[in-house]
Parts: sequence; C-alpha cells; structure tokens
Amino acid sequence: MSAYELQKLIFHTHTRAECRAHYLEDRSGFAARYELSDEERSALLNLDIGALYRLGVHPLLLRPFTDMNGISSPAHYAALRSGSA
Amino acid sequence: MPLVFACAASHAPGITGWAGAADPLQASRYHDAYRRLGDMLKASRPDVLVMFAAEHWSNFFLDNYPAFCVGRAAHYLGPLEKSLNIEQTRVVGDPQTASLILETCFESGLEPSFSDELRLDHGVMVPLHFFSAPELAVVPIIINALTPPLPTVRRCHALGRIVGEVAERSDKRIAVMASGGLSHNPGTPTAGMIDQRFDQEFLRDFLANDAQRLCAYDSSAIDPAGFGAHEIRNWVAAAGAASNWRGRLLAYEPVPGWSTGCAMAVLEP
Repeated sequence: MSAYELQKLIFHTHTRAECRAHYLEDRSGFAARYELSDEERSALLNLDIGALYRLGVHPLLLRPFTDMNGISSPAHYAALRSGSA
Repeated sequence: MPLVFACAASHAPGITGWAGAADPLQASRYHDAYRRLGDMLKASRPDVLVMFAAEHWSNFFLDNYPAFCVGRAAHYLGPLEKSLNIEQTRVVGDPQTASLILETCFESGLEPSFSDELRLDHGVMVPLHFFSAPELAVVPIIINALTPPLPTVRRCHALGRIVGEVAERSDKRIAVMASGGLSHNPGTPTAGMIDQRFDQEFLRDFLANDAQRLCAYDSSAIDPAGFGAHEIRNWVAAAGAASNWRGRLLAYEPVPGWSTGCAMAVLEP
C-alpha cells in the first residue's frame, strides 16, 4: 500500500526543489516525513535499485531519482538487471 | 479556418540529452528530420501549436491524475530535466485557444481537466528545441499514457477530432503535433528493446489515417511494445484532428541507445 508513499517521496524530490535539497542533505530525516515500510525505507536509504523497482517504483520515477543520486545510466541498468533477475 | 499543419514525432530524452549514445548516422538523420519538420511547421505560418503530449511525473501524481489535461497558461517553464541539455526557457501559451478547446470539448461531452500552470518536460521541450521558434504559442494537451487506467485510444481520437473542429472555428492558424512513442520501455530491465514490427504496423495505420484500425489499438496490442508505446495515443489524437489527411513518413530510426523506436511523420491534405 505504501508504495504510494515511496513514490510520493521520489516525486517530491523530482518536482520540489526544497524537497530535493532536504533529501540530499539528510536522507534519513527526509524519509521520516513519509509512511514507509521497513523494507521500503531500507531500499531507499541503501539506494537498492533492484529492490526499489520490485517494490513498485515506476521506471520513470526511478531513473531520474538514481540520476539525482549520481548513479550513471550503465550502473542503473546493471543494478536493475541483476536486482530483478 | 482549417488546420494548417499536423505532424507527429518521438521525443526520447536521449535525442538531446545523450545523443552520443545513438549510432552517429541514426542520430544525424533523426536530428536533420526534426529540423526539416521545424521548417515545414514554420512554412505553415501557425499562430499556435496544439501539442498532444505525455508528461512523465513532472506535474501530476497519483493523488490526482487526469486522463486529459489542457494547458491554459499564458506561459510555461521548461524543461524540468537538466539532463536534456536544453536551456530552461519560457514557452508562450495561448489561453484563448485553450479555452476554446475546453469549451468545445465540454459541449461535445468530453471533459478534460485544465491547468493554468504546467511544467514542461522532454515530451514538449525536445520538439520545441529543434523548432527554434520561441515566439510560437503552444497549447499542451497532456494525455495520460503513464499510469493506468489510461483513456482508451478511441477516446483520444475523439479528443483529436474536437481539436480539429476547434481549428475550423478559430480565427487563428492552428497546427497540431503529437509527441511520443513509438515502442519503448525505458527505465526497465528491458530498456533498449525496440519492437520494430509493432512500430511498422502502427506507422502503416497512422500513415493511412485509418480511424477504424487506429481506434482498435488496446492494451493487448500495445503492452508488448513497452509501456512507453502507450504514447501512440498522442499520434491517434493528431490523426483525429486531421482526419481527412494522409501521412508521409519523414524518419524511422530504431535507436537502442535512446531506448526508443523513433518515428516522425506529417499528415497532409
């Protein structure tokens, strides 16, 4: 159910500069603003791309999010393919 | 007055953002085709360009996601994404034409949402980048091809028909463009997959402007070509707006590096 919250968090980092700044400064503190399951929080804070995808983050939310986190396209897809195999 | 121009083109962010990921010849051919398209658009002397476009989590979220949204702002800002290598700019809108579209839709029994503030992403900004026409007014019409339930393709065709009627009613010279498709599945483990068979079959139907065949596309036909292929809704809307016109293909480049079957076509009287 709370994949909604997980995606909302990512959507906010994508569309709201103040959320992006908060996330980049204090990821754990920013995540606390959303109702995440333990699994979601762990995937988010560990930047576990395969897990985030499996948990239901839309691909077009996930790739801009990993890009914002400095993850290159090849690294994103390698993680996705190994994580979702 | 009658519609002055109609066209459709793919808008993959890699076209400008990571052009080097494509085969250089493919990139060059597609970029050249976009510039030619811009020249043709300018030659039609449009007052306003109505763009059937997707948005990609740039405005709407699951708290409230419209099937259709008509942009009614006097101006827009775009692109949202720095990765496009397109300088953020102010795009002129046309509230008057947007309002006429909305009124005509409501009179016709179709009720889109509307927005006086839309952020424009690559769906609109990649085409505008190549058109180099900063004075051209744009009315973006967002069609949900992103998160189900999606409007039926038939409904998108009906929306396009209404825009065609608006052009007839309006004193302005109205051009339409569809932005999106064809096959693509970006951001997923199968990104780079291109379904050329789907693309060619869809192009055949689009170029013939065969309303019956176009309206018959459903999820079972589209899903195998990737979730991004649902953006053919935009093409079908443009076909509806220019329902008596026939198509001419300007480019088809299946580009794995851009994760998209990139197509471009015009519809002509």
